[in-house]
Amino acid sequence: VGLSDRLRAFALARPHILIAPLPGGTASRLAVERLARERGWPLAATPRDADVLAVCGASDGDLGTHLAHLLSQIPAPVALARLGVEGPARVHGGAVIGTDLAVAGARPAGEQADMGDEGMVAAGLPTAGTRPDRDGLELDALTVPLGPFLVAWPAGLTCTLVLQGDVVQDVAVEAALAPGAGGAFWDAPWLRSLRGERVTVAEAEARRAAAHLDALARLLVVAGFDGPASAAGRLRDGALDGGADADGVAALRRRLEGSRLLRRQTAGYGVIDAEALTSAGVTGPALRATGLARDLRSLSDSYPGFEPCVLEDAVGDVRSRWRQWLAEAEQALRVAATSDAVLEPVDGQHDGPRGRIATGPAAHSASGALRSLLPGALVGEDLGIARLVVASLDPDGDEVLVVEEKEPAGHV
Amino acid sequence: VERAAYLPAILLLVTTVLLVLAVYAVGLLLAPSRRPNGADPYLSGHLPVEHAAGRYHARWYAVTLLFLAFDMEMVFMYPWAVVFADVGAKALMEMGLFLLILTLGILYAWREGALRWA
Repeated sequence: VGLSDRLRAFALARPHILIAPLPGGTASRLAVERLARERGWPLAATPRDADVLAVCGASDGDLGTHLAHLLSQIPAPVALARLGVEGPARVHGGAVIGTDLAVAGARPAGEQADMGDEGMVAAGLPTAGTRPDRDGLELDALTVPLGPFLVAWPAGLTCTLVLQGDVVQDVAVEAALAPGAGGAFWDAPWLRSLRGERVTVAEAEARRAAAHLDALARLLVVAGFDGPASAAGRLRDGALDGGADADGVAALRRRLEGSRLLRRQTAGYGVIDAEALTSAGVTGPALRATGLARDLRSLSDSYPGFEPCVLEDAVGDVRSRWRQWLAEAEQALRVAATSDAVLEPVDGQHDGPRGRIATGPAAHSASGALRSLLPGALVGEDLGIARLVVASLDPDGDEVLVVEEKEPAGHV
Repeated sequence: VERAAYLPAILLLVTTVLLVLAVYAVGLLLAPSRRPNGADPYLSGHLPVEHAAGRYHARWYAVTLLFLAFDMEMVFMYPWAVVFADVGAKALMEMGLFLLILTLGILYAWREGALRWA
């Protein structure tokens, strides 16, 4: 007994953490990422590599069965850390171990799927069907779900792809809602300001910079740039702590813009023009990444002399979008460092990290608009590019949630 | 018959069986769980609805043919390299012509979109 306990302690001295973000769980996801970085714990990309499943968010909502299946795929010994909306207060205290999650939904071994009248069966599952391909052939089409629990993926989003080879032929997009969760972390300063609280421009702009750096960090993970991704994560946490480092953001920007590899991976892919973005209702950095200087802050008295940030060579592709995040994050930190104004809405609206933020019946979710663009942007791309395109649009699961809670049911 | 001559083989057999049993025993004693994980693929928390085993995409065949052409070219180059020093410039010309024809072939295939993927 002593030996296996010691072996277990040895094996788990540096646990690999698999983060399962739920809508509304951004704050605790950030806390877990910070904890992992401070202690040198690696973040696992798949359940096979994981020792700890960190569930970030208040409620499973529709995602409970997916979560249970994920847990069943982690080899023993496995620890389940349930972190609410606020973050891992319990993790700091030492071990958070427990498996209060019912393991359901896993397919019992040996169970055979129903065999249809035609079609082949392999390992109890029907093989992929066929559908016409662009060359006029009938080729295999495989259904592959991306999300909800995928590394560096927006919380609660599920894109069910139909793949031929690695080419996306069809996409169905779903967003899970976790009822009663804690609201949109990235939009919090602006939402508070809309509720009539006094919020400073400095606080809001630091939050904007952190939101952009977080989106960038996840895009860089998808692109395979782990070093710059953790640099972006450090800058993000610095901005949230009030230790804004605009020069650090500028340095990261120079480093990434100088990378030929990242240019080849992201330039020219996922191009969405300003017209399509505007008709979908996109207003934020994704729209400005097409070269359109449209920003509510330039109309606001809280931002004297504000110039919207627009890149000279913006073309609305994946690369323009991540460069736009970096440019806006740097600008936001510089504004935060100098401004002592109080945030005032323009016509009851704010320009938030993903786009306009408003409340009331006319509320319109910037992330909902970004999400509506996904099917059109993904079809025809290959799988790797599709992941980069999703990361570059980065609909915020928290934001979609907040808006749809307020609207009558049936709105998708 | 010299029975002692079989002794090393028998010892080897016994040792092998004991070692294999020992590995199983260590596994039974120290494994954190007796219940092995399934072999389900990781699909972001989803169960697979289809098996991914399927026919190969037709585009692989074009790539395979291109690969074969250049693979065979390498096969031809081995004997050529052996006699190259003796034959001299004539061999160089011949191989250059051969490679030129192949290169034109791949350029043609490229133009026709045989390497186009997405």
